[in-house]
Amino acid sequence: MYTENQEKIISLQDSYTLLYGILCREIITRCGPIGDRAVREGTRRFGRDRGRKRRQIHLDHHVKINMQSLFSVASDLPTDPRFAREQQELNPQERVSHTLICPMADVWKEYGLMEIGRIYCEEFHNACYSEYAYGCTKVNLSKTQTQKGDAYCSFNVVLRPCDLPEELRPVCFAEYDPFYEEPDLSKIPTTDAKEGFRSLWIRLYFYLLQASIEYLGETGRQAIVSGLECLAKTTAGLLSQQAAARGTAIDSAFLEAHYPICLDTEKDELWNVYTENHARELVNDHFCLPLAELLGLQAALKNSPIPAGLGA
Amino acid sequence: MYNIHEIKLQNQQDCISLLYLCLASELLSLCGRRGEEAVQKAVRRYGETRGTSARKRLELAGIPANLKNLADGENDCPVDPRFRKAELARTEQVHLWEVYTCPMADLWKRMQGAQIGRLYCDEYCRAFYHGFSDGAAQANITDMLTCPRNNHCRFSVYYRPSNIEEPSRIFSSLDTRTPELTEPIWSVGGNESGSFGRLWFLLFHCMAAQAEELLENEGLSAVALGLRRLAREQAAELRRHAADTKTSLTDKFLAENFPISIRSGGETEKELCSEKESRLLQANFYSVLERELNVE
Repeated sequence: MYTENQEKIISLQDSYTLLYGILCREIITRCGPIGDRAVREGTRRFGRDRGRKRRQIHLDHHVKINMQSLFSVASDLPTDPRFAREQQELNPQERVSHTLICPMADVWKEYGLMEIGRIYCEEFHNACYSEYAYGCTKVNLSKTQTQKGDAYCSFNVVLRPCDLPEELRPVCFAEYDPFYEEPDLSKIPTTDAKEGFRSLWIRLYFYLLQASIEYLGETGRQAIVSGLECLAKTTAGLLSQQAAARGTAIDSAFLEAHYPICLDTEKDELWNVYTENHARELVNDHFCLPLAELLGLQAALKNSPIPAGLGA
Repeated sequence: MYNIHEIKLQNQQDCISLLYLCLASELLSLCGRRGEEAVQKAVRRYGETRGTSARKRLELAGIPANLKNLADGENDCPVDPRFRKAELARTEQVHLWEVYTCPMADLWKRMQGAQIGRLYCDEYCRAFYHGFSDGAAQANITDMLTCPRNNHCRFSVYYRPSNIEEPSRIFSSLDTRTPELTEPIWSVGGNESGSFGRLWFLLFHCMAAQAEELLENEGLSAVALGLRRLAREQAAELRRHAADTKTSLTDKFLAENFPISIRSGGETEKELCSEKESRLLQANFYSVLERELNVE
C-alpha cells in the first residue's frame, strides 16, 4: 500500500516514462536509423543537462562534486517508492548498486517499449553521471532490466581523483581541499515531485525535439507531432486507469496532482527557457489540447490563442 | 586437471599478472596518489594500444571491425585455460559475457594485491574498446572478481551504428534491436595465437613511460624497484613451476614457461621499449633474475 503522496509520485513517474517511450518509438519507426541517431543524441543532451544542473546546485551549496554527493544529495526527484535497490558501496569515489525493481523498465515492458528503454539505459546514465563530474566519471551499467534476460541492473559508477585535472580535485574531494567546511545539507531545499517531474518532462521533450529537427528536419518535427498525438491518447488511458483505481474523477485538480506538466502551457514559465523550435506551441497543439478533449476538460483549459504560423 | 601444454600457457599468463602487480605496487607505495594516477593511465594506454591494434588487424584483413568479428577473430595472445566464461550475446553491436574464474584476479588475490588488481579492471576493458572503436563503443564492467563481494565479472559492450559516421563500413545491418540473452555458451580458455612476450613488453613500456611522464625520475625509480621485486618473485614462481612439473630450470623450460628471454628481449623489446626502458630492464631485471635463477 502506498500513501497518497506516493501514489502521486508513481503517476508522475509513469507519465514521464511514457513520454520518452512513445516519442522515441515514433521517431525511430518513422525515421529509421537516423531516427535512432537523433533519439540517442537527444537522450545524451538531456542527460548532460540534468548532470550539469545537479552539479550547479551542489556547487551553489558548497557540496563536493563526487559520487557520494551525486547519489545522495539534493536529488532532482523524490524516489519512486517502487524502486528497490541494493546499495553495496557509496563513498566519494564509488557507487556500486543493484536495482532490483525499476518502474521505468516495468512501464516500458508493459507498453511494448523495451527496445526504447534499452536506448535510455545505454545513453542517459552515461551522459548524466559523466557530465556531472566534468566528463570524468566512469559509468558502468552492465546488467539492465531493459535487456531481456537480465533480472536486475548492476551499476558501478566511479570517479577517481586521478581521473580529474589537478585544479578540479579540490572541487570534488574533501581530502584535496584543506580548508573545506562541510555544508549543512539540511539547508538544501528538497525537490517537490510535481516540480521535479515537470522540469524533467519539459527538458526531455525539448532535447528530443531539438535533436530530431537537427538530424531530420521537417520529418523529425512531424515524427514528434505524431508522437505527441499518440502520447495524448495513451496518457488519457493511463490517467483514466489511475483515477479509476483511486475511485476519483479526472478533473483539473487530479491532473494538477498526477500529471507532470500543466495543460495550460502559458502558465508555465519554464517554457520561456526552452523556446527553440516552437517547443511549447507543438506541445500545446498536439498534446495538451487533444488530451484535454479526450478527458472532457476543454472548458477547464484556458489557453491563449496560438500565434498564427506557429501551430502545426 | 590441465595438461602440460596448458600449464605452460598458464605460467606465461601469470608472468604478465605478476609484472603488473610488482610495478603497480611499487608505484603506489612510493609515489602515493601520483603513483596511482600513473598506474591508471598506464593501464589505459596499454588497453587502448591493444584495442587499436585489434581494429587494425581486422582492417588489414579486410574484415569489418565490429564486436562479432572481434570476438570471432584471433586474439593477440593465447587465452589461459583457467579463464572460464559464459557468453550471453555476441552480435556486431552487442557483446555480453560473464567471467567466473580469472587467473589474473586469482594471482592478485593470492599475493594480497586484489585492490591493485581492481585498478586494472577499472581501466583495461574500457580502454580496450575505446581504442578498438575510436571512442564510439561503450564498455561496462561490474561485479568484478577483484572485489571481495563478487563471484563473477560481468562485461557488457555496446557499439551502435548510430554513434559513428559511415556505419555501413562496419555493420551489416543498422537494426539496433538488442538480442535476447542466449543460454550461456560456456568456454574455457580460447585460441593460442599471438604471444605473451609481446604483451609483457607492451605492458612494461606503458607503465615505465607513464611513470616517467607523470613522475619523472621518482617514477622511474619506483619502476626500477618494481622490476627488482619482480625478478625475485618471478624466480621463486619459476622454481615452483619447475618443481610442480618435475623439471629443472633449463633454458628450454624457461623458453616454454616464461614469455621473454631472461637475458634480453631481442627485437620485440627494441620495437616496443625506448632505450632508457631497455637500460632499466638490463640493470634491474635481467641481471637480478639470472642471478636469482642460477640457470643450469
